[in-house]
Amino acid sequence: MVRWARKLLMIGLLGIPIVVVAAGVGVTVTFGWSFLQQTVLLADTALVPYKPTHIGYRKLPGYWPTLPEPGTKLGTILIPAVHINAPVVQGTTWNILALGVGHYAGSPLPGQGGNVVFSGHRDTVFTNLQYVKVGDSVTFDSPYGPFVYRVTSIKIVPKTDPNIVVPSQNPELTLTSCYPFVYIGFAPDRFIVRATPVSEPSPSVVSQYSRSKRGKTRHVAESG
Amino acid sequence: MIRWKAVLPLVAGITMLAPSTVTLAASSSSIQQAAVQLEDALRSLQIQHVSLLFAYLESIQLSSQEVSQITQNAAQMQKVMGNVSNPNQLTLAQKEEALRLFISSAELAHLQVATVLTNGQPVNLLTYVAQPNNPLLIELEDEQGKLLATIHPQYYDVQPQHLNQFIHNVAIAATSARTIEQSHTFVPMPRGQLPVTATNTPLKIVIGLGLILVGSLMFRPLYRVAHKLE
Repeated sequence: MVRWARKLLMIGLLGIPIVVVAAGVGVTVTFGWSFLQQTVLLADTALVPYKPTHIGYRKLPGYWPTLPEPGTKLGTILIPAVHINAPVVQGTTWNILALGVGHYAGSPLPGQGGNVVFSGHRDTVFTNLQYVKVGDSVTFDSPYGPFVYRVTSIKIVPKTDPNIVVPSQNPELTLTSCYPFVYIGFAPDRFIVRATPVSEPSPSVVSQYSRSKRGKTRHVAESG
Repeated sequence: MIRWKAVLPLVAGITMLAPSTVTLAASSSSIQQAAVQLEDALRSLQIQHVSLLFAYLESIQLSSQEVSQITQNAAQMQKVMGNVSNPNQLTLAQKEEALRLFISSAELAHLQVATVLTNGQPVNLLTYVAQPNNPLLIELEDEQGKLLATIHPQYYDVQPQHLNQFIHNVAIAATSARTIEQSHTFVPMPRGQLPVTATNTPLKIVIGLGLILVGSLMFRPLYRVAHKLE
């Protein structure tokens, strides 16, 4: 074999593992960084907080007088029993769910009555949801104050179940995530946690926050 | 070739969302029925995730002038199309008029429209040439530029019966939106769908680590082979 051909073959043989390792490093770094952003660094993500004074929307009575913008931070969900502490943002599209737990925009917001639906990724913010038990406390810390719920039921349903994201007469909170929690590809089922309200902020906080353009009166109301 | 197939139904769709000037008594059952009809109207636009758009459209305040203009635009669009069965038969002037009506209706509905390819490249509808493997996307955004929904125009077909159905739905959906607005509360979507809540990111990280491992294991035997060649 001529010398140059042998050299070319050598470079090719050594290049194969180098390319494979380089591809592996690229994939790991890209998705590793994305994963870190959606888990460990989630609390540091800069999110636009909800402001109730948006021109153009019709005004509703009580909490959340105007519709939040997609991706707006509505508050924080806390489930101390399973160490869940994540921001809640408006919307449940793919991009928005990377910012935290998403509020399904077609469902009411906490305090508006009916079935409030929060959804989170099974492999980031809601990984620990699988360990929730009936009776655990769920707190949604909003600009108006804490909405506290108690878990009443846990079930697994097919992803097309039409009876989960539906209006209800009584106020309740529905948490959803994909199931199984460890699965290759898009999971066929959904993990559903239902909770009923235990307490909600004082109505006086609502009026004070609604009057504030920036929503800074919450701390005044709480301290008072 | 311009995707007029996309433009026409969208104008009709936007018009469907406008509150009617007809006053109706907003009973609980009529509100629920209106919500169902509004949701159906949005789904008829072939939008996969309609919740953000549903919430937005029931929450914005449209003036009677805006509603009236949107309705007129839809009627004008019918005139522009005439009896043409294939939108590509339209003259350039007709196409420009249809596009003007389309943009105007979106703005009146407090929506911004961005037409892009699947790779994110912006598209001028007047000069756009359809590409089979890179279809057009119509992104509907709110006034702040936040994405509410994406329409995939390739689903549409401008057959006469389709158009008639759209126009027929205008009256139904307009009445629905008006009824919902009269409720003075947030009206939830009647048949919401469970969101997709899996990133598969950990799996991708494992794949990346696997590639690093495989590459590392391959290196030694391949190095030996290469060394023998030397």
